[in-house]
Amino acid sequence: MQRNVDYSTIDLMGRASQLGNHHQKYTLSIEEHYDTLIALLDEHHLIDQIRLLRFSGAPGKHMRTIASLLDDRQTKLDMIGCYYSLQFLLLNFKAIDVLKLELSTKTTNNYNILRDFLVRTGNDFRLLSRSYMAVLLEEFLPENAPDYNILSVGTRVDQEDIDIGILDRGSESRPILTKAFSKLYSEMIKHASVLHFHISEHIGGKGYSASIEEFHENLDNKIGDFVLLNEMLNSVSIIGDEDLFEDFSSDILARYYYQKGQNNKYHEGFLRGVLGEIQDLITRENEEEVLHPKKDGLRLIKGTITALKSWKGLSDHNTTLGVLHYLYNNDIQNRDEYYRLYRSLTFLETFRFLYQLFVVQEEEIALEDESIFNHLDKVAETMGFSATSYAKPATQLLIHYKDHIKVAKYGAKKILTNISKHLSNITIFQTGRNAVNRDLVKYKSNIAEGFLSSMDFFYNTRYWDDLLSLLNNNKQLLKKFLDDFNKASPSIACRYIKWGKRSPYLFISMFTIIKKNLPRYLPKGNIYKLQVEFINKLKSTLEDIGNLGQVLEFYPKKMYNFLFILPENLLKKLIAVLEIPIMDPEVNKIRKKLLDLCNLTYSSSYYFKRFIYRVFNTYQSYLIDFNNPKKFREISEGLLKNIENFNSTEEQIKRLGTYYDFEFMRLGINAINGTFFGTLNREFTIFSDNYIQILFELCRKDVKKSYDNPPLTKDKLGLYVAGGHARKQAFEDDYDLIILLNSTNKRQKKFSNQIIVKMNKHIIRRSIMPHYKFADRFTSYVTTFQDLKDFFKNPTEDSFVDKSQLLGARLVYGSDHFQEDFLNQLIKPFIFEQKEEFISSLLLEIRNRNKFHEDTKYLNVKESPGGLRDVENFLFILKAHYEIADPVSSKLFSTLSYKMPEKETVFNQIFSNYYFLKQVRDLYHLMISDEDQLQMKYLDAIVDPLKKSGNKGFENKSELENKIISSLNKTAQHIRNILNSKGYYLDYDPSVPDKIASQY
Amino acid sequence: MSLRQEIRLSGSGGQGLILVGKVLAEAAAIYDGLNATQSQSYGPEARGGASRSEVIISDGDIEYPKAENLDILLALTQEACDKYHKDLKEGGILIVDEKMVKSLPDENYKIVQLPIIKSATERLGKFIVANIVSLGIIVKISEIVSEEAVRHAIKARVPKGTEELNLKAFEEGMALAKEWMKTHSTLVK
Repeated sequence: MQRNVDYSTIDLMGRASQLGNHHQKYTLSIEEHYDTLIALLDEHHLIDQIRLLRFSGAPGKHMRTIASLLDDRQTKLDMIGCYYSLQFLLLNFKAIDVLKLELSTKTTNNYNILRDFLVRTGNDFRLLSRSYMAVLLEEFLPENAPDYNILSVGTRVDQEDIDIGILDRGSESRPILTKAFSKLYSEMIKHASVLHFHISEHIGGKGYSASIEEFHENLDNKIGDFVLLNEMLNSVSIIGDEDLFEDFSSDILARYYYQKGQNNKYHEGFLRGVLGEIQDLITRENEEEVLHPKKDGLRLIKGTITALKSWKGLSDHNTTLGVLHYLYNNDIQNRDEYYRLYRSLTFLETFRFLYQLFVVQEEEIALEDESIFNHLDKVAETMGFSATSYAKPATQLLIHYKDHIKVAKYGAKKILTNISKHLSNITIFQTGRNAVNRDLVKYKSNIAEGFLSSMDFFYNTRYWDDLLSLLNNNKQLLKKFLDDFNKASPSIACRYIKWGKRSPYLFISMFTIIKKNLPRYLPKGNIYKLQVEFINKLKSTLEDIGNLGQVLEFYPKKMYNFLFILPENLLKKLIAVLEIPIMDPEVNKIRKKLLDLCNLTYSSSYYFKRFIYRVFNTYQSYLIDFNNPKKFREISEGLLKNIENFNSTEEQIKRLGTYYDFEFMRLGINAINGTFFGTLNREFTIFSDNYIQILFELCRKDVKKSYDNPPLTKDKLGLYVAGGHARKQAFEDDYDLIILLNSTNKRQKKFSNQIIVKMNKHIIRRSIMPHYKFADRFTSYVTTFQDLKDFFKNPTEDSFVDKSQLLGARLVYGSDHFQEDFLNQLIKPFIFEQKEEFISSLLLEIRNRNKFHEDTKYLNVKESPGGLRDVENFLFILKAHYEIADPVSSKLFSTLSYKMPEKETVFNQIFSNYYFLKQVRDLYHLMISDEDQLQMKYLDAIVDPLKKSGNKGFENKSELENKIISSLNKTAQHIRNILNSKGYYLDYDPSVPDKIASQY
Repeated sequence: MSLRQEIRLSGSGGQGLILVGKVLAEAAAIYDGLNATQSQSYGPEARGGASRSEVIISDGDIEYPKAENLDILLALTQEACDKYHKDLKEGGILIVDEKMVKSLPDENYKIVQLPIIKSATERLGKFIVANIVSLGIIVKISEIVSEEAVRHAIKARVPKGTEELNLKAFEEGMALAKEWMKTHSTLVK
């Protein structure tokens, strides 16, 4: 409802309606009181002196004039409130108009324009709000009011609320101040921005003000709340007794500034608090769908600048921009960082201001709501972005926003390193009475206790990287600390956890430092109790899980190393905590990731865990996506393709190793997650073949460099894999290699050997043991055809083993012509043409091994009757029998079924059991232990992954045990039946004519 | 002795509890002619994800701006409930979301457990108005400010274009509370 307002007021109200709804407070006041105010000024002939519709340079003077015309307090307050409302709207219109003008004329760069906008608008707002408060206090305070001083402690341009602190002298007349400030608050909430008294909420008794003595009482013995200190250090006196502020500055504020050669514990405490937050904010993952200028960047920048302000003693500079300006001109070395922070600060502060002006006074901006983009367009246009054919203003603004966050983090990170160095030079732990690094031998008391008592002052601060680094780099100190920690009372673990409860990063770092330097301390004494307490205190809360998640996101290596060393019982407890969902979607996302990582660690055998540990410790950035199979696959493909982009062979080999490690780990994780084993076998074979082939090529290239005229090995050299690799089975931990040369040329052999020596060195680095099948026998990695021919002409008792290796081998590097020579010169004459001898040796091997394993109560998935080795030897027998050279695979089973159609069903059953037992073995290796002898009590762990990959017939470990036993027994029986049908008998019975067995 | 009501709104960041505090305080101060203070947590405790806003409403001067003896506590997370319920005065009103807060304190409080978030997401289709649903519950149950004042204050605080949705959320909260009061009328005035 508008009453009797002139044209200009209509214009003003119209513009106000374009601003955020919260401006209704001001338009309401104008609508209700404007007429009365005009009439009042008219009556006193002041209408020309107090021009209501133009922003005033002297609002205090005008408000006092208005106040002087009235006796009734309520009317007086309403008229002053109306005047304030008019001026407030005019102030903002002026701010927008000038900003638009400057951005369109561009006399300087955009950031300087934004800076001028912020400074100008901040000063105007400070002038108006300070004047309003001063006039109201003149109204509310009696003449005999005690001394007081109002400190402005917030950002000057912030109109959402006005952060203030109030100093007094603590006299008995404080209630007079309390009453006046209560009235001030009530009046401000109606007509202006809300006051916020963070300092009063923490210092002093019940009331709005606090005395210097009360600051002493609260802050002398503990560093306290660094947010409070941050506000105090940026405080400026705006109203009241200047002497009081001077006393406060010299008595309280001064001690938080660095003083060379003095005890700097207050300064140190402030830095530990603020750096903890800066570190958190740098490592904080920004939410995708929510903008929060304060959390995303402003707090980070302002905290960094205040930290520098306290270090450099810049108490005279009381705005962030002012401090930045000084540092930019005086600390030339870090000028680039200051300029980065300057650009981000001006951009983010302007964005926040305009968003709150045009939309709503909220810190969080949710982007999921489409309608927000219309509002953001308006903000973006005011900031100088205009629509283009490819992007709306809001889109451009968001791109710049994200860039500025990155730039701010980058700049702050570099400065954080400088401040951290400063901190390590001035800390009381280095220079004070409890200095821990000065002379360890002379430090007679318990150093762990000493730390705690000194750290008590710093309670609730979170930045301790400098001290952690001290312990990490000084083993003697670490040992002394751990010994003393164990000697102290068991309650020390609880006291430490209580002290650092908000910082899991601190403890996780500590445990990983112990693991790296003195691991034997971890599983016992108070250090073990510390781990127990740490896990026991964790709760499924946003704060705890958020903090843990942050460690995973930004220090993944630390987090994994911590999980790696965590005892199983504690890991289980942690999993239970992580299983409870968190409402915040971002934290919930990271909770799930951490839970997956814990489950992976918990499910992995020590053998596989060690593997993951090695990969994550070398390439920690991959850890972030470990539970995203698609992403992992992409990384893997990228790693392979990227190899050729490097020039040096050494670098290419290094990259190839990364590819191998990564693929092994990726497929291991997939296996644990229940991926179909056919897929795993195929992918494993592809990457392991890739690895050997590329490695051979790279090593050959390297060796060739040392030859002027390198020998040719085309059609002469072949690389075979034997064992599981030959059968295209995943997770073969060893590489059985056969390197054959179809030549007796010494130069060719030497050349080939040099390649293999080089290859060997790199394979070993992957923690894989390459076995060269004939290397021992012929004392060379490379075996010539002639060596083998000579050997088979004069066989030993176990030469059937060598023949099996050859018969089961698969060519991974070499020509077809070479393979043909291999078959014609070795396989046919020495195996197929001497099959009876070969087969009888295999039968004897099966018989003896079965006899040995029948006697044992343990199940061995490989060696027991019906186990993997039985099947493999059985297949060798049939391969020799039918003269088939194909490696063991499903294709071989089909070929055999074709040869013996009456046994097709039995072959299918053998294949199915073999396949099942192989999966049992692989999962047992990955999740339990790198052994073939199964311990039934641990089978629980592999039940689910086996079921997920399609196996049926069991629900728990005892049913699985039954299925394993049944598979072994049935396989043994099927093998026996088929061999019997071909006249090969496994049961030696002298009464039964056994054409093979009788030879032995 | 003047009436002094202390209200704390607690939960996690992103739940819009600061806005609820502002609306409640302005409804009291601007539209109902009462005195009110509103503050939000700024300290380190507010930076771990928890969110807290306090409102004090009085018909006299408010001589101390910090809420310590709460008449009403709204807790939208278990963490907030566990952390703050001890600040509730005996017989105070604890309002919680039935899904988010499962474990309730065994103290002499009037506990109002309602599907706040479910109503916002399922009935209104927007999680972000769960805060205003809560506001409706507080206003209906406590009668601390007039419903009309709150409607004005909502319109004067939320972004343009969202007024209708927020007013609907407020009515939804009031309806939830009304339904609850039918069976619990003896507990609350």
